[in-house]
Amino acid sequence: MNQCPNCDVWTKDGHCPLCREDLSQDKGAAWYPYYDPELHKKRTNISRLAILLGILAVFICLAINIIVIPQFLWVFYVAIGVFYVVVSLTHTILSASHIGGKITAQVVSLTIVLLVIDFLSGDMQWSVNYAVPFLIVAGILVISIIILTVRLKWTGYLSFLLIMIALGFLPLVFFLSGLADVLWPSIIAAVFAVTVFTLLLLFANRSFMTQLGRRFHL
Amino acid sequence: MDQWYRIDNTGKIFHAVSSATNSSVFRVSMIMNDTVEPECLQEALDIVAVRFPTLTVRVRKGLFWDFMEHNDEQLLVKPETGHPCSPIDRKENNAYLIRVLYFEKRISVEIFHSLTDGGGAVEFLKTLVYQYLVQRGEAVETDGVILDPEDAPDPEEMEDSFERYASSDTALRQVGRAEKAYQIKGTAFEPPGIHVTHGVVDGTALNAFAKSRGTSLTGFLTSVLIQAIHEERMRRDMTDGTVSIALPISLRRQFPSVTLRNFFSVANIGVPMDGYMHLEDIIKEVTGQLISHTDKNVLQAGIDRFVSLQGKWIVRALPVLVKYPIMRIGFNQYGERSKTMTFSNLGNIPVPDSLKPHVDRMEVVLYPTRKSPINAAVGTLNGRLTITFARSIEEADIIRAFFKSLADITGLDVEVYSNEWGDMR
Repeated sequence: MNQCPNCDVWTKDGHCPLCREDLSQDKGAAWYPYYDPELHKKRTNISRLAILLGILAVFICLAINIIVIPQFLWVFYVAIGVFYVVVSLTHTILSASHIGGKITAQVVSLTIVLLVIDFLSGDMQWSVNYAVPFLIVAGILVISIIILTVRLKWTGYLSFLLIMIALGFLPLVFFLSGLADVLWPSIIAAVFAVTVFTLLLLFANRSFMTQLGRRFHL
Repeated sequence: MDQWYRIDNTGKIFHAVSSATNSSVFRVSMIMNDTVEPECLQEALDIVAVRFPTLTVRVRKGLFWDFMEHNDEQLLVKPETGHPCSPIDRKENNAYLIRVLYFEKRISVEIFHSLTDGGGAVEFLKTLVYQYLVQRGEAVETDGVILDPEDAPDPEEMEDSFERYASSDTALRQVGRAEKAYQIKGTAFEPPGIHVTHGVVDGTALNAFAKSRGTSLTGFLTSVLIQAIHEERMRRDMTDGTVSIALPISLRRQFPSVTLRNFFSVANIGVPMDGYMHLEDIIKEVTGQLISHTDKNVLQAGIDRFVSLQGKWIVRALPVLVKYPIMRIGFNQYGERSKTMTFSNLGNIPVPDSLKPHVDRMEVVLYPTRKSPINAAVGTLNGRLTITFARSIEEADIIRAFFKSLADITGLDVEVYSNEWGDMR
């Protein structure tokens, strides 16, 4: 063992671990694996880069929009498009989130995109009347199919299915608040949500109730 | 098996505050006298995992609180490749919040703090090492100091002992914000990582030395640490202030419990440093505070306050999406700002005589956080005491000053080694 004259400590290494002073030619024992600096280099954070580029693109478009045709603010279409691309890239594609979470995030972000585009293009109510209800039905259906396929691991999807079932009542809220004026798609979405919930109660009664108890414990 | 557990009262905090710069993952290791055989370690882990059901879980999302569920996947031992206490990637780890690593002669267990504290982790490690030696054909006994892998888990090992010992639902809240402590600043490693420096000392001799100075081992080491921080940083920066060392206190001694879940309190030992404080003065102050902070009534009040806060309806009924950010703010504003460093002493770990010839010593690594970029931990085994500093910043001045002081003051040999993270460029 070598003693470091600066730090008054002993070491089996060839240099002092505290002040890096060379003590001998002997490399000593390997206490830890070798960390390859290349392997641990900070990877460019694509998600952060995408958000920054998105914001930059929106600001550039805003400037062009104001300079060229200030009477028609098309920049909002760009902004909502950028929002959807960023969510899809950072969450759906790049993140390690649960697939149920990715589906839920897609449904929520697409709902926002559809609502904004509809509002910007003259508020024709096609989004609240038809597009959003069927999008939510599609979301519930996709998660239900996955649950049927994964079988034993179904509990991992339950939280997301419950969120989607709750979202199933959103179109009805739109109708009751006067935002939508066509009832039947909203009814379909709510009935579909209730049906899936009832089927879960019927076919997975005990484990479903157990899972509900766990997820809602106070 | 479809078992589930609520996250215990302390575990909820770690669950809320963990992030890229605060992994909330700590490590306990044993250094064996022979190179580790991975196959035997895996066989041992397969047996031991069943004995510790609260550690072999996955976390599920809940609306008001997340919870833990039994994990059916196999928990695999892995060769150590990264730095200690890196965040646990649940996808790479079969959704477990615990990992078992091996490197040369070292067996390490890294655990997300939501699952257990140092006491629970050490019990797991002891049983794992015992079973590993059994798999290797060694004649070892549990001798009543190791949880036998053959036994069924005791329900009391799974209890949240905070709930058991809470004596009042209407505990008084601590008034006001905690005093801001001196905080260590430095240059974060690039790439980010954790540098660990271990110092090995004769535990028996150091304990005797501490007693001769009228304090305990923890009191002495805390005092030397406070002095090192003052000498290296505050004197240089010409700042006065309180150096506050957060000492996790296992509650199992004062409140008998065999729980393998979190059951500890934290005592902040704060010493106002003004340039006129000598080591003897620091020792006196630290020892006095250690005695008062570990008084049973003080600890009881802490348990009551903790349980009463989390039992409030408003806290329970808030969805985690709202609750976790609030808990993060509370952690940073009340917990982190009132301490300079955390220093955890797991004490002298008892092992059977039959195990001692196979094990050299142990190491404990406590993850650093953004506001507390250097943390320290101590573990003693076979009479060998290992002090480990884990830092996420380049500056090693405090650690160097601490070990130099320790060697100079006690006259004991201090053997130092490190993982060299950030040293090799």
